[in-house]
Amino acid sequence: MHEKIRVVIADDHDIYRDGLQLLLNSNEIEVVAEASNGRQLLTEVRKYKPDVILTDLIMSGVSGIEAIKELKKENFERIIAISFFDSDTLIVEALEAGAIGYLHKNVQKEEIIEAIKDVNNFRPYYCKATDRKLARLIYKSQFNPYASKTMPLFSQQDIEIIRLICQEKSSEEIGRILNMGARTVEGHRAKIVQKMNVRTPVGVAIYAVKNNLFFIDPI
Amino acid sequence: MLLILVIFFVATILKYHRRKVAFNLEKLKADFGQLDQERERIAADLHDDLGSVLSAVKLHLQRVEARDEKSNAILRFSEDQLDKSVNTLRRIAFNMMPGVLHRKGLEEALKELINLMADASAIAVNVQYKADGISHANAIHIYRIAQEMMHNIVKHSKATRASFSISKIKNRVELRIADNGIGFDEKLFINKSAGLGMRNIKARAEVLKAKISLATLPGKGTHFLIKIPL
Repeated sequence: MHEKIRVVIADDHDIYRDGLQLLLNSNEIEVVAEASNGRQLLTEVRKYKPDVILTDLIMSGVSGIEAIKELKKENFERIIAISFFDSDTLIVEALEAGAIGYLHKNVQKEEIIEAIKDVNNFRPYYCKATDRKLARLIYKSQFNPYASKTMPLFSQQDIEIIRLICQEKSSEEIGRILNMGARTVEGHRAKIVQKMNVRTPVGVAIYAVKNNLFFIDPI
Repeated sequence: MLLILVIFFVATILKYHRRKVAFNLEKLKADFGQLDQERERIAADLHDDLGSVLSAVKLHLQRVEARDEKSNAILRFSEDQLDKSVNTLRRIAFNMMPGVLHRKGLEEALKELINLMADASAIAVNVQYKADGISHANAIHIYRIAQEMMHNIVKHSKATRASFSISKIKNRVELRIADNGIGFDEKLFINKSAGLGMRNIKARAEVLKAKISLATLPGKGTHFLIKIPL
């Protein structure tokens, strides 16, 4: 049996932490410690050295953002920002501070588990509720989890498909534009997503912009 | 003798009037200060407390294993209603006082406001922001004026395009908000019987000691220019 993913969670509401803990503890994940503010989070992380950290952003005293910055300095990379705030700027701040994934608080439990598994494998996680506006802010932000990695090779055709995905085209539309069947496009998309190590079209777009495969209009 | 008496009388009235104006302005400032502070507190309570509790309830609900289709449907329905409540709560809190105004300042707050409005309507909004060094107290007033004006554009103007610019010129900030909508009768703005929104704009402008110019004609769009001394 493989080892469980060890997680520390931080949120200033007991009821939310309880819910999260009960939901996450399973044969795959173990919540090893909880914290109700940023300072406590730092203490627990230093003590337990978890695989993944899940933290709220607005907490009294040391905020989640400040804690993320501190953890990043101490080489903890696998951090997921979880926030009720739909304020896009706050999410971008968390990513710039060092989180590599983010979730809105009212997502389904499957998505929380998916995010923990992805981030555990150092794969950036973008909440499925991400809209264009937030994606745009992320493109323009300092956040770049791909900076230090070598980029896989994409064929010219891949790049064309990537650019069309960035323009929010469906596989059918891409097929029509490039004169190929939708299923062939699907096949290419699957390979692209795999090479980029992302899950969603938003992930493809962020990867593409951060690696100069696609350029967006400034607004 | 009579002349001296008249001069004295007029001077006293003028002095009294000036004092009254100054007093009213101070009172207006204090009222707005209190109002904004209260709004901020309510917005934070809604977000931080009520919002988190609703999200937590959703987490707890997700642990229930439905035994049959009917229970499953009830659970789904409850989760959907929770999601809707969370969205309503976010909207209310944002309208009360956007947290971003505190955390990131006026520019980000205005951009977020305009994005939200542009998303909710079919109006293309062009934004330009070239102003810094605006105090937080002034930023709240400017934000509220912009919010009220953008709200009017979305609600009444029937515009397809709008532009929003804020720039710093010497020792003042200029806020320009324009649209290509149906315009309105200027008297509605000048009159004392103007709507609550318009009265709020004027009262906030008074606190800022700002001058508002308005160019509008029925059918010709609206152009507001607000000059705020720094």
